[in-house]
Amino acid sequence: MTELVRVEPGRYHDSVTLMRASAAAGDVPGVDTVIAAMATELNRALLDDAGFPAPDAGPDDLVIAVRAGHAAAADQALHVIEGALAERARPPQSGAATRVPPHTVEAAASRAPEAPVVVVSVPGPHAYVEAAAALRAGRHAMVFSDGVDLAAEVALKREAAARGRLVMGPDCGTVILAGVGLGFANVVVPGPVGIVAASGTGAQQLCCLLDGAGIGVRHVLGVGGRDLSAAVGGASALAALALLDDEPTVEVIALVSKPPAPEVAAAVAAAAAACATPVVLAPVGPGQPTLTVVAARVADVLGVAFPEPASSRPEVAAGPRPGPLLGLFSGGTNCLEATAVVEEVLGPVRSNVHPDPAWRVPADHRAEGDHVLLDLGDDELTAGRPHPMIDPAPVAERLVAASSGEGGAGGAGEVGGARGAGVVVLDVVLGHGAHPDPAAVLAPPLAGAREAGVATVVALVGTAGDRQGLGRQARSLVDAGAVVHRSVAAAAAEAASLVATARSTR
Amino acid sequence: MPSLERPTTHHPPLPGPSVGSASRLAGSASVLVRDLLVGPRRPATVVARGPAATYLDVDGRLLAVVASGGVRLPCALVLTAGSPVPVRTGAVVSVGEGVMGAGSRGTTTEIVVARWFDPRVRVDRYDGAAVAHLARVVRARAGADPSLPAGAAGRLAADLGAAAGPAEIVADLVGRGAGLTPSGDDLLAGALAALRAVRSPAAGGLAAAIGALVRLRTTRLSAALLEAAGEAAVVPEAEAVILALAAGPRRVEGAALRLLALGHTSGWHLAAGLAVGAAHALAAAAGGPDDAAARPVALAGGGLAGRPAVLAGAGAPGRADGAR
Amino acid sequence: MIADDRVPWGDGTRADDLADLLVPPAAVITVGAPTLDEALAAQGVATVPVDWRPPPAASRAAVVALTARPGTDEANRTAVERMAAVRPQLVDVTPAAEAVGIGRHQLLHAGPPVDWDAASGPLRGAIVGACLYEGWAGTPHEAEALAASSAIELSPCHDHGCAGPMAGIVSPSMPLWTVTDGNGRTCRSTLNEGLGKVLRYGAFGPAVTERLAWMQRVLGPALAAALRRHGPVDAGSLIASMVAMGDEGHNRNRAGTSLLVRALAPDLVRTVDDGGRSAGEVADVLAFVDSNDHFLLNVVMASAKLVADAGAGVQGSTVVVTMARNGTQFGIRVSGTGDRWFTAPATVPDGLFLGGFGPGDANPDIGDSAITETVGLGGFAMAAAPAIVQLVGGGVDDAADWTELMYQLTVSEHPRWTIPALGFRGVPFGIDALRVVRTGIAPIINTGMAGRVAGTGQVGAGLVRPPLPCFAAALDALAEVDPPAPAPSAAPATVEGGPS
Repeated sequence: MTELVRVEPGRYHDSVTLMRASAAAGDVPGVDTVIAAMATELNRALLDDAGFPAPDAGPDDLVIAVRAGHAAAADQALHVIEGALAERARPPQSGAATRVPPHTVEAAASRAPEAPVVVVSVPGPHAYVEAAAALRAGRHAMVFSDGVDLAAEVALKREAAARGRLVMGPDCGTVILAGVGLGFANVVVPGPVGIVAASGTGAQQLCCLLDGAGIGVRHVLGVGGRDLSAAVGGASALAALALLDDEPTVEVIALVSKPPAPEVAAAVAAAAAACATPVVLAPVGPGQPTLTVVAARVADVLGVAFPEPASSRPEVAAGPRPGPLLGLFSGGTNCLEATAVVEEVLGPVRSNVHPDPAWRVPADHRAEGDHVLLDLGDDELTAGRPHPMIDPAPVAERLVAASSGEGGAGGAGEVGGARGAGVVVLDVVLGHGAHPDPAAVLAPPLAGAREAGVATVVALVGTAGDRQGLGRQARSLVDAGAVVHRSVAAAAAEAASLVATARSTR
Repeated sequence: MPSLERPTTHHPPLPGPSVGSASRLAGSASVLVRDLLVGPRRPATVVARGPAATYLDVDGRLLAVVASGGVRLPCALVLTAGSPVPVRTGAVVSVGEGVMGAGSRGTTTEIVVARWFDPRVRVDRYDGAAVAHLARVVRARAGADPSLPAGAAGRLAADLGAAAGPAEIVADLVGRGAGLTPSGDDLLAGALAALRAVRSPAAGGLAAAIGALVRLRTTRLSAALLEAAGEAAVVPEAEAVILALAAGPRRVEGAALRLLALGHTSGWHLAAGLAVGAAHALAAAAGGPDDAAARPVALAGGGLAGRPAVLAGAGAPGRADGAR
Repeated sequence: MIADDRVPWGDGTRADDLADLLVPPAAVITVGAPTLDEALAAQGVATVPVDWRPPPAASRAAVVALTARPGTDEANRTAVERMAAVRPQLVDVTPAAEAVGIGRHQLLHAGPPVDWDAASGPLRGAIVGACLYEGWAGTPHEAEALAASSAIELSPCHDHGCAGPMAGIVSPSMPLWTVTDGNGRTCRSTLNEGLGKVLRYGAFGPAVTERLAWMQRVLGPALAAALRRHGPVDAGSLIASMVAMGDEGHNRNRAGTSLLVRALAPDLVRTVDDGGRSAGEVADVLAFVDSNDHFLLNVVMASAKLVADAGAGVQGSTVVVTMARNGTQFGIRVSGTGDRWFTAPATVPDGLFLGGFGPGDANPDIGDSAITETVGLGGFAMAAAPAIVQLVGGGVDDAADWTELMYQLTVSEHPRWTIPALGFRGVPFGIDALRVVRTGIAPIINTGMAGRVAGTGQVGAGLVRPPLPCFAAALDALAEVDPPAPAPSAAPATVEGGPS
């Protein structure tokens, strides 16, 4: 038999709240008697009747008295009481609360106790403070911000683990929680698939491919591009994996990332193997299965068919005129995946995000004849500018330049002397946060490319539910002369084969 | 970090039909009515209207168009902002291709689906202390509809485990009570959803008993909600209670109070039904349905229609009641 | 340094599971780009956007370091819990010479340390008035010469366990209220002189001297005798009651003053029977208090200082334990940096003016009375005292809004000083210098305004905000001092380096 009497001087709760808390704690198995009350004369008598020693407390003080069969039950009773009291401790919403906005995450959290997650998109150097505030307010944090110091990321994730919360990010572009998209996300139907994503655009491509096959995605938990590095050790990915494994509605989990650091890869593989839910690992890069293959594997696990992703093509295709391949991507993972696919056909190509530093080039690279695939969403190109998913203008500009015949692949308009591109492959990403009508921006330069004899291939990443209208976007792009694929891998493969064909028939 | 500001250059407005003064609203929709919304456009008839919702008949199924802030029914399209277009009962609107459209001759309103939600809830098992606590909260609030048969919840609890099955009590309850969702239906829906959420074998018999009567005996809306409950699809307030019942006693109190606040009596009957269903599933998992029926516990005098009702398996350990 | 992994985040706030993430969020808090907030709103998700502004670049390192330091929250909780536990009791009235041990040519003043050369008009006026009152000089001219010659030793009230309103001058003969916490700690404050031409607003001359002499001869001894008969008055409960009755304890003390008189009147009258005091003198005392709605202010200030001092000296705590002004400088002290003052030039309050006075007549902010805001009263409790706007300007909503804003700067809420209109929510309690710097929002202070020319007296009342550089400097100092001792651990830090 354990008996404990705790006095909290000056802590006040009304009698109804305290009675409810006492009742809740009384339901804990092994608990005999619970009294949580203000130490008024009446309640002191009640404690005495129940056989508890007289507490050193007055009417302004809260007394919690528990008698239980064993210490663990008593502890659990205290836990339940604190929970019930916390539930009641919501500050009332005054008129002032509607006029005075919250200036801190803490203030917002106290006003919205029901909000489970905080989306942080302040500039990188400030993100640590806001994300830490979110965790300390008991919330999960999605950190959209990039440019967050590695030490800060490690500290945040360590704190999150200690607090039982999840840090999604930093540099996390995509999260979907039971159909609700945070950041850049597509309109998906909640279904049996859960995704852990160290790559936002990779997750979007996978969501859209599955959507195209009629397979719903329930959750996408982004973890940030550095999560699977040796320094971070996959802290968030492993937590997210466990979380999705415990979720009864998730029947298959996919983990999308760049290839992890070797020691982290081992930990992830072990964790995946330990999951009760099947896990499809999807590292993106050279020698790895494409996300289209991954989507097919996910369908296979679910036992449903995975039809080849849709594509549509113009009645009259342009060119291609001879010339190198130019890739213009707004999604980093799309660029990486396309690079891997193209290299299998054309051999090494250059890219500003090439996994092999030897083939990495700046975005204004202009050596004649080089195939160049660019991630236009890369930090260096977007600092202070809208991301190309928000505003595809940089894609349009480079498309115009490449078609003009004046610029080499990847060159901007001022580059002279080099021959223009023969084939251009680009991605167009739809969904929440993305441009309301990217096809309208891209159709004129695509039509211009057709006139110049440049073949264009578009990877259209979107779902039927996206507000931009997947069908409308596809029609506009095709009408402008582009071949449109839902699969990035298929678009890259067609672009590469067009280049190879043009070369061989020259 | 890229700027997240929208470009200042002008971009065309959202593509859409530019007929007359077309207004476009957004909403979130249940996956249970997805086939109705994304299928080909077809006519739908307004069968009822409430202050916060308009109910449509689409091919014999019910679609609720709910105002922003209204109750998120499991068969609903909930507006992101504002209220549904005022259309009279009997009017014909169109549904399909991802939108609901209403209006005619120059003034049309379309509601596009901006996100999907899944009202179906699924948990692995219930926590005993949590279920007991829900029963306590429910009986602490006398909320039973006096037009229900005496001790209805207790009878339902007992009959779920009985050899004869629940057909008799179901027949007593379906369509019983006032309003768009009669109290008897709420009680049944709660019990059915709680059973289905843990895939309890008892769900099948209860669903069958209800299904045999539902089309004839109750309102269109209530029939749709009972059908949804058969897939463990419920309003979010009830979903939160089911999740809390699985997680342990700590969150039960808050979740239950929010559910109890729903409607005039709907919340209380749903909560009572959930308590009955969860208690049965719990006891059945522990030792079979017979055990569940064998351990009845009083659910408070006057709690249900003036008589001591009985809740199966909701046994509370003995304690000094002087504490409260 | 951002990563101190020696100390686990074991402050008991661990959530029991992560699964609350996997349902459609009932609401999402957003901080940063409005685009992301809008995308959620477009999906019908309720959002709570934070009105975020970056902290000043110069403070960024300190903000990150203190946020990352695992002990900061706990240190702040400790400081605030200690403050909340104080139950001030009003026990006595004693001459300053006896109570704080000051003697000939020694004066206390409001705010951080200052000398005659730097002193503003009202402070100089009050020094002159005190010299005349104490008989150290025969004329204002002699008094000025005496003070300018450095013969007068000036030190801050706060260094002597006192808090003085406006100029805050305490001279040896003045009677002081004594407030104790029952555990041996004591704080003091002068008796309030009333309004008009009074010493604390920098006025001097025969009327000022006469009133001070009467207070010394009649008022002080009468209150002392009454209090000793009555026994301790629970000043903490008195504050709770007055806040419930529409006072904020700084610029509005009407209800509290009445409550005190109600409690003491019987014992005050009985002191006539005890001898040595006439019924007429007692009547004079009651009439004097009746003429002065601010009579209780000084008791509130002494009580507030007792509360604030309890929070001082907690290693690593960013809780502000003093805000005070000397008419030239605004100064703060913070729990984790001991007795060190962080100062910046005081600003002129914004508010309503008496008679023919205007903004040009007002002296920069002066007085120790901001100790009331330091513990959640005054400007922080304006929601409890909507009538205050008649005195300081603005509308009734503004009063509620200021309190709402101040909740965002404090660690906690006072457990017993509650505001009925906010559902008995406690006043914002425990100003966090870190939040002040993070948000760029300065605390709000209700204050009186003294004339800038010595001898003028009060010219108005209004609102004033402390200069933010005080808080930034305090934060820098806190970031430099050693963090609280971590729990011993063999594991060395694995991640080095700070934020970029």
